[in-house]
Amino acid sequence: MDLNYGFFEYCMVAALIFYAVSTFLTFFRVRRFGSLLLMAGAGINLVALISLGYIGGKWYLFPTLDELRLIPAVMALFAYPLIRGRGRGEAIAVLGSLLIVTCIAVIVQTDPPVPNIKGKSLVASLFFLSEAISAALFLLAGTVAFAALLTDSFFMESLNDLVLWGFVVFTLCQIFGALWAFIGWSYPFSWSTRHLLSASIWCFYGAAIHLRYVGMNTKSKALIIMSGVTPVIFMVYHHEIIELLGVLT
Amino acid sequence: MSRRGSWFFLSQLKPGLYLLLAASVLLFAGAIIVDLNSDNFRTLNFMLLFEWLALYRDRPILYVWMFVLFAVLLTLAINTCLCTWTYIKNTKQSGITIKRAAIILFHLSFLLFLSAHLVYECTGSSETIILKKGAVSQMSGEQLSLEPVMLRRMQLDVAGKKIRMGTRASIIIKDFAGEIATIYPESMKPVFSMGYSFHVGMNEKGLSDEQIRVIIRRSPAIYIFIVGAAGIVLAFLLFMFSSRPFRIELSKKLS
Repeated sequence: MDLNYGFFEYCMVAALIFYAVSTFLTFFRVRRFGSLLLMAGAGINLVALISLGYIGGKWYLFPTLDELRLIPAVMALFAYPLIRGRGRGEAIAVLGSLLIVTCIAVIVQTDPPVPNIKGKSLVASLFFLSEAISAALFLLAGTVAFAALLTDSFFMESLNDLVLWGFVVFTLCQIFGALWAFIGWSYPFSWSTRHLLSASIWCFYGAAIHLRYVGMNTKSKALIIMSGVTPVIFMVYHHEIIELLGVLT
Repeated sequence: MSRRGSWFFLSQLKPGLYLLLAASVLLFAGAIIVDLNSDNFRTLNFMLLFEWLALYRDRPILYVWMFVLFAVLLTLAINTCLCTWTYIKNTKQSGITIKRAAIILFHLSFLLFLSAHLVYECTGSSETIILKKGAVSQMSGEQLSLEPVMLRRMQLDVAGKKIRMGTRASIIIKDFAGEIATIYPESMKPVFSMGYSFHVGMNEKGLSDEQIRVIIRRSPAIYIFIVGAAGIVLAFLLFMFSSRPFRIELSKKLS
């Protein structure tokens, strides 16, 4: 039996509903049930992605790594320990950002994916997987920094961990990307928007992980980490931003 | 600032942090510049930097951006060298741990990557040739001739739809010394031979069934990239091993 694109879309809407209810429950301090719903939402989100790879009676890995829809699932998985063990403000901020990212994933219309020549190599899949994980961690770090600024309580432990592991995974992602670009296009680095944005993000978070070693107040650190979200959003939603600008102009 | 003073300043962590932030801002600005001048920059993927700069001498914005970026990255490389050297000296005194070894290895690999980029932009050669089955083509500037003897377009049948999956070829290559080799490159599967890498082009537009687009590249930077990438992967593994939750998990499993 073939799973069609409609099944995927219904699953994404269901995941959004689960995330929204989880946020609502966490807001009213029903944390245990809220976190269970969050995990359920992540599960449905992952099922939706797996269903994308089921085409013509066969399952392909590459189409499942749809970055726009993978990021909410990864964010939900990382948000689980954050909302279980941290402050309410931090938990709400994290779930709020998850809701925004999932809403974009549901609203943005894309063609059903098909296996293609670019996905022939395993490094392409590893690249998209590691990029989605690191982007999710960077977005969560930006959100936690934003919550820190708003509530005047500082979650430096979460911030440091999110930025550090985001940076480590993003570095691996850059290696997979360089390898993929070389075997596919013959150059490990291309002078394109995508590659320059990746280099910009890498340099930014490279600076961010050194913040803990310099004498700077926590508010400034939070502000710097929060500003890192801009190139990440530009990288992940580049296509959508350009389309939106085209419509507006 | 005195000469000793500027070296001391550069060996601090704080200037490194600001240099990384400056590089990030410059690269972000570059992404927008490239977005607006994508055709000009696409040619740089197949040209040496000096040739490219000569070609676009009437575009000062591209010049200035490139120059400032290289200046910042060069200063960053010097700063990383000095900071890493200081860190190694301190580590020697206080004793090495797996985490510190990972950090040192990571910084050295970063320096390798930066130098690989410089070598990549300033040396080597590349050429894109359209080859015809049975016909001998010459690579300009390099005494290398190529003759494809077999071409096969690959397709994937997905739910009754044919999806293009590139080309597989068998090519006989001959260099100036008369050395002959047969290579079997395929889309997304390049082949290394005679000091060159042979890539089958992804773009098959405008090609007949008898033609193939091949990119031939020679760059010593690739080897530096490989060493740098191996260093980073090793540093990642060491870092993972040194992290507390991982060690606790491992010791639980072992016991």
